[in-house]
Amino acid sequence: MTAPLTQPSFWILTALAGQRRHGYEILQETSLASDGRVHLKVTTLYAALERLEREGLVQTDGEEIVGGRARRYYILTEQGTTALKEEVVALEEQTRVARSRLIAAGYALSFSEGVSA
Amino acid sequence: MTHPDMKHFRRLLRWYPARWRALNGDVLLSTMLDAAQREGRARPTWSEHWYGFIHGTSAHIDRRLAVRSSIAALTLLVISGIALVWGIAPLSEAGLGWTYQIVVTGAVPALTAVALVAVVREKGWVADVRALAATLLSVTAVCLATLTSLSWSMGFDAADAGVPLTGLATLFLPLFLTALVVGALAIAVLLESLLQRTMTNRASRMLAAGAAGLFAAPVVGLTMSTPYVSAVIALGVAVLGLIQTSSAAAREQKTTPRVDAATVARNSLTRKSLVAVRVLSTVAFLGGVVGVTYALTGAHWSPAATDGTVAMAQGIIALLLSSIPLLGAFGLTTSVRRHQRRLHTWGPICAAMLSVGLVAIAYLNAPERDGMALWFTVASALGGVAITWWTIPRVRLARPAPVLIGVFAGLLYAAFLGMMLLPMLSFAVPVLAVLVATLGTRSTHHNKHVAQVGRQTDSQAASSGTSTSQSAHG
Repeated sequence: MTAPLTQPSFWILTALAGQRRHGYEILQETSLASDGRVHLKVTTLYAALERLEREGLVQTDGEEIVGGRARRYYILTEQGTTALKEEVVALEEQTRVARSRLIAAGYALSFSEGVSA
Repeated sequence: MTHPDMKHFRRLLRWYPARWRALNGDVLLSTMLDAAQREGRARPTWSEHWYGFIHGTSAHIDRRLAVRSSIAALTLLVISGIALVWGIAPLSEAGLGWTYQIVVTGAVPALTAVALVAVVREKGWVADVRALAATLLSVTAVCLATLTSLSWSMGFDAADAGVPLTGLATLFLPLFLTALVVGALAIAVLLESLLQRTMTNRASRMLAAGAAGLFAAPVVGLTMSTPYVSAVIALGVAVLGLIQTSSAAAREQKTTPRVDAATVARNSLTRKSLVAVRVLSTVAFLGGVVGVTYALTGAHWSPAATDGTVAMAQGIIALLLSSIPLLGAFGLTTSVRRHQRRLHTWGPICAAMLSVGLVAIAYLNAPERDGMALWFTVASALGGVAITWWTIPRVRLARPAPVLIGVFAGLLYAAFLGMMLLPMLSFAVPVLAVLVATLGTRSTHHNKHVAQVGRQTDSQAASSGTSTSQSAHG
């Protein structure tokens, strides 16, 4: 059984889905994709990337020097893609259950207005 | 526009190990500068300082630290073992007996705990903060446990001499309780991380980890204070660390040999060897049964056994001598099964036979320690050589891992375990003889069956290939 992904890991894998990115791009993308809810520190990002690399979920994909600054690119591995897909399925299932319970309890759900009784 | 000042950011890298900095320093620095430039900062934030400290410090807790710590623990254990067996009396006479206690109940468990946390972190099972916390807590718990142990010894001596407790001796209970709580916390921190894989509810995970920590702390504390358990754990952690350190390239170079019918047949015992294994195992079994019976009951019926101690020594001699044919049978079964040079099988087996024989000679002088000491010393050294020689060619890791594992396993045996364990292990000779006679020859029967099936398959394939080519030509 694999451990559920932590919030930072989930958003890092999401940022890398289908695209190679370097560290700073990942920081920007996670902040953007999570609507500002996840704001990783640089050191936290590299700690998380190291752990994900050890677990075989991401791998490095070359380095470049741009404007005198070193950029290391990361990509998702097959295992990482599978882990992200499994997490998405699990989250969708959780959402489905929560939604059906709320509707059964008489709450109307609307994406724009939130929850109203 | 404010530009980031590189020197302030570069300072953050000082927390990291030099090797990590060489590999990743520029990339981390560049990303920090990018983030600072975008936010218009010249210096790192407090948060960057804090996480840089946490991540950088915990980066030291890696597989290299695991290997170094466990090897340091093993070295200290070997030295303590030699001191315990041959030289602790002068230490005690000089009033330095506590140094042995500090090494065995303090330094060795602390180094082993650090190595264990490093192995677990390297596997990615604990996050940096928890690895750091577990390291600090476990080292603190071991230090407190050592003080507790010293306090108990001093209290014991004071009570023995009928004088009131003073100084450290009065602090036994608070030291014990603090060591227990800190040790439980160290275990709980590690367990809580490991349980993340199976328990999603944080509260129940913390509760389970806390309860397990409280229960396990005294057990771990007591077992780790005995050198034998520490030796086994330290050697195990060293092996894990060395496996992690072994390069992937070395593992990739390892090729799996194609096992065909001819190879399987060649790896089976010949009829003569099979008979020899059975005869040798039977001799060992009968000798072992006689030895066990004599050791336990000889004092009641044997005229040669004047009391229980003499009967036990004579029974152990019979058991040790019975283990020599057993080693021969074991050598025969393994020399054909393994992909090893025969020298690397029979060399260690002969050293082990000689070692066992010398222990048997030592027991002729039992229970006079002086008469046994020289034989025991040479026998322990030979046993260590046998273990080292047997281990090195069979550990399939990149060098120097096999050498380190083999040498330390041999040294630990020679320093500690051989002296204590061999006479006790000899009581297992009858059981081991049955195992060698059954399991050792069973694989031969299986291999012969595989070889026979393989030859049939080969001949069928050859004939079908011939007929196919004939029909193609036709």
